[in-house]
Amino acid sequence: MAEQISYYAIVDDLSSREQPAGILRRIKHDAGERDEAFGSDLRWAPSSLLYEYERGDLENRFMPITEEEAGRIVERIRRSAGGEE
Amino acid sequence: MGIDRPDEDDAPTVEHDAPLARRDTPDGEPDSPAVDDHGTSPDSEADRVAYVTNFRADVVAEYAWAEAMPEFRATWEEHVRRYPHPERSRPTAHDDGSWSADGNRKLNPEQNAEVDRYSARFHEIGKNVIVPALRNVEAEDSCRHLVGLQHCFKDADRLKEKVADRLRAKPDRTPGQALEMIPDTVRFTLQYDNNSYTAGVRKDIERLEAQGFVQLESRGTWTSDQYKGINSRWEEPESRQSFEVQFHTRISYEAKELTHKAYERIRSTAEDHERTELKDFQRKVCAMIPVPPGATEIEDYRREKIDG
Repeated sequence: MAEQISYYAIVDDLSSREQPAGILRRIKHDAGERDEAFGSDLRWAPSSLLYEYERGDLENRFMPITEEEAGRIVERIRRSAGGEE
Repeated sequence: MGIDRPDEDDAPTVEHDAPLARRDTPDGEPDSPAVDDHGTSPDSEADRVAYVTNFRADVVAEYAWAEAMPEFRATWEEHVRRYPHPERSRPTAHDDGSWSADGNRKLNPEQNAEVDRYSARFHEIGKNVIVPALRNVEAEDSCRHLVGLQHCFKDADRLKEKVADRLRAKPDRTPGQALEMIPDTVRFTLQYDNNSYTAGVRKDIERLEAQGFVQLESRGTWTSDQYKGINSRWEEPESRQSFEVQFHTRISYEAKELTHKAYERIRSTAEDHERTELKDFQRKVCAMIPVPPGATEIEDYRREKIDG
């Protein structure tokens, strides 16, 4: 299997699909899978949030989005961290 | 490779009671099909047939589960042997008031102090208001009971891990917002017989509302291949303290406990290739859980935001 990446908008009580609280990606490949979130440190790093959701956690919802939409959320986080928002 | 650490507040507490203590053989009949576990009488021949059919299916499933448990435990022991994780270092509170843990999780002194204040608050409200009310709800029906009550308050370090994870993954959140949105700082589990599950859950939702609690959300995962049950989120209106109530059958609760360490590894320390095996383990365990009649018809609920 080639590497497959699925992107999700993280939506909680204070956010929406249009203005999500964050961005998560699930990467599947021949050897397994992992989840990463793009964080306040402006890098992709391991995240447990989607696994928690799959275990019944009620804090967040995960909306599948396109790579293009994901790119826009990443840019928004970058701008926000840089004080542009 | 990452490492594993038993999470004290979520530590498995499987009670190895006899799975068929109140059952007959798989071919047996219920003692009294005229009255079910909720004291309601099947009022037609069709109801009686359905009752007996469900009862038999329940007994067969319980035997299958009991037979599968040793194999699942052996599978897990073999997994741990193949993937030994060194012990994780303990989370550390530093002299300057900050806090750190594995996975590059950090809270600065102000954030750490805020979590400590919040922990003290939810312990007080939980102990004085929420736990007594849940006890009242439990006392209204002897056919199901609270389980795992000793773990109803989330461990302080696990809570700090969650806050640190959220502050990173949701960059606009303040520590206070992150804390308030974590649904299971106070949590309870009600456990039912398979055949009384659906009616029991519906009735207990009414009972929780009668105690004055406000339901914020519930989500059923009976069709999931990784975790089965219903989790719900509630609010104590005076303090606005939220808490979680999980609705399980005995087998779904045991399955949750049985897979707890696998889940811990999935969400924290497993490498990619191990994670696939862990999810496969959870899938096999979940496949053995009988879905209570009508459970998938309990609709998910989400309260509309009315106060921002």
